[in-house]
Amino acid sequence: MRSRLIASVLGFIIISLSVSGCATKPTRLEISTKPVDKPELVLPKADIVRMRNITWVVITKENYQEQFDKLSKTGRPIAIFGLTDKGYADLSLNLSDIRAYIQQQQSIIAAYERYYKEADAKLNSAVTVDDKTKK
Amino acid sequence: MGLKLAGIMAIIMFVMGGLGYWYYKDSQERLAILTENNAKLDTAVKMNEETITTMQSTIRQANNQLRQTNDEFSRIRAHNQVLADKLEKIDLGMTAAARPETIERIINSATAKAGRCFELLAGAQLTKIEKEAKDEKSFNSECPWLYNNLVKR
Repeated sequence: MRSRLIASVLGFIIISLSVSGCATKPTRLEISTKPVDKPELVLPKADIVRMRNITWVVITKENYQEQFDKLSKTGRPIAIFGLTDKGYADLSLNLSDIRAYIQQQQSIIAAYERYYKEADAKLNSAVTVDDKTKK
Repeated sequence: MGLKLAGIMAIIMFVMGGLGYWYYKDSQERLAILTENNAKLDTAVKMNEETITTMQSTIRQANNQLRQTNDEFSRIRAHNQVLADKLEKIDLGMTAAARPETIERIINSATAKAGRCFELLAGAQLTKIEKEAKDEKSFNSECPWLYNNLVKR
């Protein structure tokens, strides 16, 4: 009679422990975010370009003597660095290509600037929203 | 015998009471942690949603900049083609042979204007004449498209 009673009590205790759960307590989650401001990039402005004056002289079979006389009056040595019409056109087109290249580079820099300014503004507003959400 | 049974019953009741109290406290603690975790997960989900929205918006911005830059490149290429078309239309050699002084004057003027385009692109200050230019052609015939960016702006 006594041993049955003890067995019942022990059995009840074991069942109670099983029901209440021997599992470990759930762990507390810790979520933390901390935005860090990146330092501002300060760069110097590019130098201003000052183009030198260039004077072209067109020399033909008819006018070369006249041009040479004009040139000798300037006191410069008589030496002509010549270009044909094709050479002149190619030089002009090369300069035009360089000008287009500079413009394209400026467009790229402007696009980067616009993108990062807009992205920074968006990220800042997102961080503000996140902070509000946390609170 | 009756007293013994009462004692055992009292012990059982005491143990049961203790177990009940412990179970209650443990459940409450567990509930509090789970509620807190739920709230934190809610916040995390909201933050993730916000991050996704921001990223989507950033991708849209990147695509906008790409489209805008491609458009600008097309315009620049078209401007660059103007001189090539101009040179193709005229026989420079023949014209220069026939009228050397005229061509000399034209190419010297064009060279000075082209040089000025480089200065303007590099950020040079506008001259009074450039500031008061009424249209693109009178601004600089070698880079008339800069008129809109520099004068009309």
